[in-house]
Amino acid sequence: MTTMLARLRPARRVTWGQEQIVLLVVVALVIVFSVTLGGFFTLNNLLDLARSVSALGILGIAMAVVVIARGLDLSLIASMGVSTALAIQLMGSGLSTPLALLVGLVVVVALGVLNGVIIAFVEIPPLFATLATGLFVYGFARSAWLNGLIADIPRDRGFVRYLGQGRPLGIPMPVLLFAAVAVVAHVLLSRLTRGRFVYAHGDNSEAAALSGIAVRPLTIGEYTVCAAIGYLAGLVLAGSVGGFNTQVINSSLIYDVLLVVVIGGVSLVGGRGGVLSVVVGTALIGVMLNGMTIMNLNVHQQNIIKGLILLAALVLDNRLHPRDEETVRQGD
Amino acid sequence: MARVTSARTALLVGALAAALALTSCTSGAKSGTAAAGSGDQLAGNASTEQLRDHALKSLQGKTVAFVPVGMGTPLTEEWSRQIKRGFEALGAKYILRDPNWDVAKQADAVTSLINQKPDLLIVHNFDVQLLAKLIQKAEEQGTYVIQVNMVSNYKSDAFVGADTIGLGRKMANDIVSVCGKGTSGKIQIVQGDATSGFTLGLMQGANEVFKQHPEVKVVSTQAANWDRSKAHDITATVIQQHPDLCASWGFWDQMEYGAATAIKEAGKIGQVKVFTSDHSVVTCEALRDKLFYQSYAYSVPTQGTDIVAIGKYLLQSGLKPGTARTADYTQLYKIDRSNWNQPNMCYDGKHDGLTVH
Repeated sequence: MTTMLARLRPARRVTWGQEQIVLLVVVALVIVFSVTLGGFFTLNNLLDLARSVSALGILGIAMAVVVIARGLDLSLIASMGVSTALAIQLMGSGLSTPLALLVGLVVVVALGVLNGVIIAFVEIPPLFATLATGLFVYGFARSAWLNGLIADIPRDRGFVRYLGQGRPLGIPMPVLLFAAVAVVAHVLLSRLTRGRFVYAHGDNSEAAALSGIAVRPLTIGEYTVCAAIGYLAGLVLAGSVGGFNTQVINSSLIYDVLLVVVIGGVSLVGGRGGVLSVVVGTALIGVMLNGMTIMNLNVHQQNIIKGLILLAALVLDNRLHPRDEETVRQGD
Repeated sequence: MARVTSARTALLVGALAAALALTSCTSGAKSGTAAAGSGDQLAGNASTEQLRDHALKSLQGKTVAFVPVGMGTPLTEEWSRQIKRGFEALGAKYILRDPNWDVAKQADAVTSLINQKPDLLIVHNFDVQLLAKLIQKAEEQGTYVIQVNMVSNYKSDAFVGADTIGLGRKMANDIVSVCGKGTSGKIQIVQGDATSGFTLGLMQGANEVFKQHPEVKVVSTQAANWDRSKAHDITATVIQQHPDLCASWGFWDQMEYGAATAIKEAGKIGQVKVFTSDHSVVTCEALRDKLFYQSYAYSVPTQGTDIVAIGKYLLQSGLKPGTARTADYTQLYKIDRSNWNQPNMCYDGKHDGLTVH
């Protein structure tokens, strides 16, 4: 992807992409932890490491779809949480699993379409539009639909649990789902015309529109796909702990998602990065979290390290993709 | 429920009758005045009717406000249900403000409530510092303050909840007895919020005990901020790192359920004993499903009724808010795989007298 863009754009000074730099950092960290932390470089620990960040990775891919198109979806966690909790609650009230999951999907798709319409047709900047819809959706759902903070999966519903806890061939299900989502999203974004349009949209929206791309329907599609991928992450999160805690909607998870997207090189200015960037960013966070837990660092020490990494990524992003007239956005 | 409603109606009627009687004939008894904290005290030779008038009038039309960390969990739902039921039956007005687990919103909610000058404020502190100044301010302006289960650095009129230091000692001693000699002695601790009064109290009690028992090694102490997914992910890593772990101790059943799931996924649920506290329905179900090993209940429904009782006392006492400090530690009892299916062992925040099957 990066090479393709490099051909389209004027030659850059930097030949090293953010993706490769972060990948190098990941490899270096893995080597350091393997040498210094006993029990780090074992198959089980590495599988567990991958499992623990799979849902985050899936959310990262969802977010990447809109960020590449120079958008942002701050309502991602809210739409994921509301649809997942609703589906589980319906299972608790006796609805069949496929039907309950379908209702959740319908809700999440509707929310994606709503975001898309507000951004594409009402022309509200995505930052504010999705901030508002996220607040509205969670508030509305908690007061009208959901009857508690935590929706517990009923004992007899094995399917959702399997999405989080299953281990076909010894590989945790969340890892397989993350891999599947990554492959599908990669093919969609880099091989299909519609996927290329997403990059064109993010690179220069006006130029894309002038060249005949229907940008508004495309925007709706992007936010819908983003929300739908998020729903899968919600089911994985719920399955792995036997219930969904809607408290996560108010947590810093949305920033963690932005962190993995930005670290890997999906630039907030749009049109840059790809699925591989998200995978690399997720790997970095996974290795860090795992290492910090093994080292038994406390919350504050962990926050210091997370904050430093985010700053480093933003500085790197700024260096590699300097702001110019083309990419400047409101608020810069 | 019908029984409760009819009892509430009867009490309301009684309270109304008392109010009417007071307006029609002033018997000379000193009765509570409108402002909280200035309720006069009754003389020892007052008649039964005067005592009744004093009691009912001290509560009639008073405002009681509750600010938990967040609603939607059996714990906070049960408190709210009991507090609402108890005070509304006596003609007081109940206000609930739900900050939905948001620290800043909890401080905002308490600040705006202070401006409304409720007569009694019940707070469930997010951490030891957040509301300390605000609680003091509330008391200074004449509002009684009761803290529930998670204490603040500022101690108010009353605290109702678990004796966290005692609970920490009890639990640590139980862990020492099963993870002592002959086992790896390795244990994991999953804290709630690191600066919560509950976490600090339990850690203090636990450290006292573990210091005496070097055979027990705490290999991991991590804060999962009361979140099930975080507890799950931390535990999944710890169990890989220490496959011979003896016990996992999580400070809340809702959170520790995630840790138990991770241990089960690693195929170690028979070997690693999962300890926790609280007794919401999750505890009884997890003991039934052999996920948990034991929990300490701290009588949550009783905490709710105790809050009502202490609130009634404060409103009738005639004491100025902030003059005395009381702690009401509710009974701790052990629930394990032998007694989880007894009536009333667990609660769900919705029903009375729950039995899990």
